[in-house]
Amino acid sequence: MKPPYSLEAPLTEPLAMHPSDETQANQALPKPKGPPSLESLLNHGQLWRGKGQHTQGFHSTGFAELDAALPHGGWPQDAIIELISAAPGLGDMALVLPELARLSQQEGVVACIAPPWLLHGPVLEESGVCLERLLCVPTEAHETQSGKPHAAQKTKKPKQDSLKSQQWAAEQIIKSGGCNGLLYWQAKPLPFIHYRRLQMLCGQFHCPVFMFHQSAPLNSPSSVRLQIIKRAEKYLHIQVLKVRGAWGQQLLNINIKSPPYHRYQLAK
Amino acid sequence: MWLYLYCPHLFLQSWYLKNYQTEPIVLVDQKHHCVTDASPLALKAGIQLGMKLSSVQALSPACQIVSINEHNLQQAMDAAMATLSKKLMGYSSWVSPDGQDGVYLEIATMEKLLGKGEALTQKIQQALLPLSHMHFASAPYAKAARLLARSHMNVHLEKNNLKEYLQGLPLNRLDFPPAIEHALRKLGLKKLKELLQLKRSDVAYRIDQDLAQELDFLIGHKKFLPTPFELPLHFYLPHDLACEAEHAQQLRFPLKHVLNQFCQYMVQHNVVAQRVVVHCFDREQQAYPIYIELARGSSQLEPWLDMLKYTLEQFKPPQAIMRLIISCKVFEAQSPQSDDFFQSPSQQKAIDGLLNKLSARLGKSAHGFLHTQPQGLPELQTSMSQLPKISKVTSTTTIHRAYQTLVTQPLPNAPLQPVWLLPQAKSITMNQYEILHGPERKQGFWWQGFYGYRDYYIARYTGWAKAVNDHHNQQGALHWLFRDSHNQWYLHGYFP
Repeated sequence: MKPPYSLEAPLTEPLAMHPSDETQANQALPKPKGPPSLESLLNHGQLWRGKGQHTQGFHSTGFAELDAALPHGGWPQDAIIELISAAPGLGDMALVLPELARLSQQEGVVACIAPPWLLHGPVLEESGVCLERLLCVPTEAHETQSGKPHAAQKTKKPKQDSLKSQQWAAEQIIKSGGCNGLLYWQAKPLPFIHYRRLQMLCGQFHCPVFMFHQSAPLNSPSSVRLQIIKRAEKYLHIQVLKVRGAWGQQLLNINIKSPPYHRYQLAK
Repeated sequence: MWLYLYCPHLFLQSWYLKNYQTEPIVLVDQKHHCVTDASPLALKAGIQLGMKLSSVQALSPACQIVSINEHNLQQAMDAAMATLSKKLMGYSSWVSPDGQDGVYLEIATMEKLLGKGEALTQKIQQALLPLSHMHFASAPYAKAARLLARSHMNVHLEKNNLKEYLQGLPLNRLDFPPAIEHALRKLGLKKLKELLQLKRSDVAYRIDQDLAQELDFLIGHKKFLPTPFELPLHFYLPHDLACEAEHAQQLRFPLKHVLNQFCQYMVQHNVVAQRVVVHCFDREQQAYPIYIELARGSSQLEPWLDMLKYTLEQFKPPQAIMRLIISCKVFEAQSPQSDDFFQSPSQQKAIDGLLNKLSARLGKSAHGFLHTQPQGLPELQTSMSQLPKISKVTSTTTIHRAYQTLVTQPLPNAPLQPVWLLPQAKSITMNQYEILHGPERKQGFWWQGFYGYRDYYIARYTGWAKAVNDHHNQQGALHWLFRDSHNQWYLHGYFP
C-alpha cells in the first residue's frame, strides 16, 4: 500500500485547513494489517533513518555545545523542535532567543501561539527580536496584554474549541508562506495527526516550529526533542531526548552567561 | 463673480441652536479661558469677545458656558462647515470653505438660473433658516467679496462700481488683523484708496508682505481661486436578491457582484477602504448587519472575496434574506505603490491575507503585534495592537545593532528582566527562594494610577519541583520577585 504522505516528496497541494478534517485524515492514513510495514513506521515518525538527509537547512543555535550535539550543527529549518521544561524559568526560552532574533530580522513574521504568560517586549527588543514582526495569537482569556489572567491558569481543561482554533491558526500561519518561524506553547500534547500535519507543512513551507511542553509527549514526529533538566549559575543542564539523524539520550551542559549579580542593601 | 457668506456664530448655531436663540451662551477657549463666541443675549448682557471667563460669570451668572478643547472644537467646526457647504452646493457648483466661519460661492455661472447676488442671497438665507446673523457680499473678485462680508458690509458690487466703492471705504471699518490695523494707523492712512496707491513693495516692507498680495487679489491684479469643496465619499448600493437566501452561503454570489462594484468605485476614486457594512434585510425589513473588515485597506477584489468567504462562514441568518444594502463611509487615499515586473512577490500580501483569516475566524482582538513603551511599571511597558507599529529608523537600528551584538557574542548575557510576566503578580512566601540580584526599585507614574514603589529581585527557586520522570529535582529556575511598600513579596515573572 502506498502511503498518502512521503518524507522525501513534499506536498504539492496545501493540506486541508479545518481541524474537523481529522476524521478524514485518520481514514486516509494506512491501517496496518498484521505487522506494520517499514514505510508506515517511517511515516508515523516511529522510525527514522539514522544518516539520511531529511531537512534542507540548518542554522546555528547560538550555543556551541548544542550545535555540536545536533547532527548538522544547528536547528533544522523545516521541522518541529520540541523543548520540554517542567517548570517555568528554567531556560527553555533562552535556548530559542538567538534563533528568534535571527528569524525576526528577515522579511515576514514570526508567530507565537498560545504563549503561557505575557511576553515582556523590552527584554525581547534587547535580545535583538524585532517586535514589528512578532505576531502573537494568545489564548482566548489572554487576548490582550492588558493584565487579564491566563485561561490555562484559571481552568485546568482549556476548551476544546480554543485548542482547535490554535491548531487551525498554527496551520494557517505556516501555510500563509509569510511566516519565518512558529513558537507554539501547548497546555497538553497535540493529537498525533496534528503533529504530522504540522511536520508536513514545516517541510513544505520551510518554517521551523518550536513547541514548548511541560511534559514529554508519548509520541511525536519531531526532529529534535530536548528537555531542560536543571538551571545552574553558568550553565543549563539539558538532555537530548531525540535527534533525527544522530543518537539521542545525551546529557549536555550549555554555557549561558549569567548577569553580574549584585545584592544591594536597601535603605531602611 | 463671487459671493461670500460670513457666518461668525456657526459653531453655536450649529450645535446649540435652541440655547443660542433663547439663552445667553458663550464659547470659551479652554486654554486661555477667553470668550471666542457669544449669543445675542450674552452680548446684550455686556459680554464681549476676548473677555475672561471670570468676567462672564460676574456679568451674567446664568450664562451657559461651552468649554471645548482645541482638537474637539476643530472637529466640531469642520463638521458644521461640511454641513453648510453641502447645503450651499445647491446654489453653486464651486463652493469653497474659508476657515471655520466663511464660504466662497462662485455665482456667475448660475446667474441666469438663480439671479444676481442680491436675489441669490435671499434664497440662501431662506434655505439656511434657522441660521441667522450671517453677512453676505458679492463682488467680481473672491477676496473683495470676502473683505466686504467680513467687514459686515452686505453689499453686492459689479465690476464697474467696485473700484470706486473700495476706494471710498474707511480703513477702520475694514476687517484687518489687529497688527496690520495698528501699522496702518501708525502710517496715518485713513482710506483704502491711500493704501491702494502705495507701491506694493512699500506695503510689503513697511506693513505686511501678505497684505501686499491681498491688495492685488482685492482689485483683481492677481487672480485668486479658492480650493473647491469636495463631498466626502459615500458608497451606498442596495441590491434586491432574485430569490430569498436561507443560508449564508447563498449570499456569496450576489455579494461577490456587489463587492466587485465596490472595488470599481474605489479604483475610480483612487481610494482604499478597510471595512464595509452589508445590511441583510428579511421579509419584515429586519436588518442583520455583516461587517467585512480587512487587516489593511485595499481596493482589490481578491482580499475582499477571501474575507467574504470567512465572514459568511460565521454568519447564520435567522430569517430568509431578501435584500442587501452595502455601504461604506470611511475611505483612505490610495498610497503610492511601485510595481516592478521582475520584482519577487512581496510577503506583505501573504501576511495581510493571514491577518484577514485570523481576524475572520478568531476575532479582531485574538491576534496582534507587540509594541513597547519604555517607561512605567513593567506590566504596562508592553501592549498589543492589531497592526505592527511602524518604528522610527533609530529604533530599527538599535534592534539591528542588538542582533549583531548577539551574533558576534555567542554567549550573550542573560537580561536582568524576565521575558515572561504574570498578568497579575502572585503573593508568595520567601522560604523557597535564594535572592541573587537586587533590589532594583521601580516606580509607576501617577497617570498610570500607581503611587507606590516596588523593589525587584532576581531569585532562584530552591523548592522541589516534580520532574518529568517522577523524580523530584531541585531545578534552579530564575524568578522575578518584588517587595512592595508593605513588605509583601510577590512573584511577577520568569526568566528565559
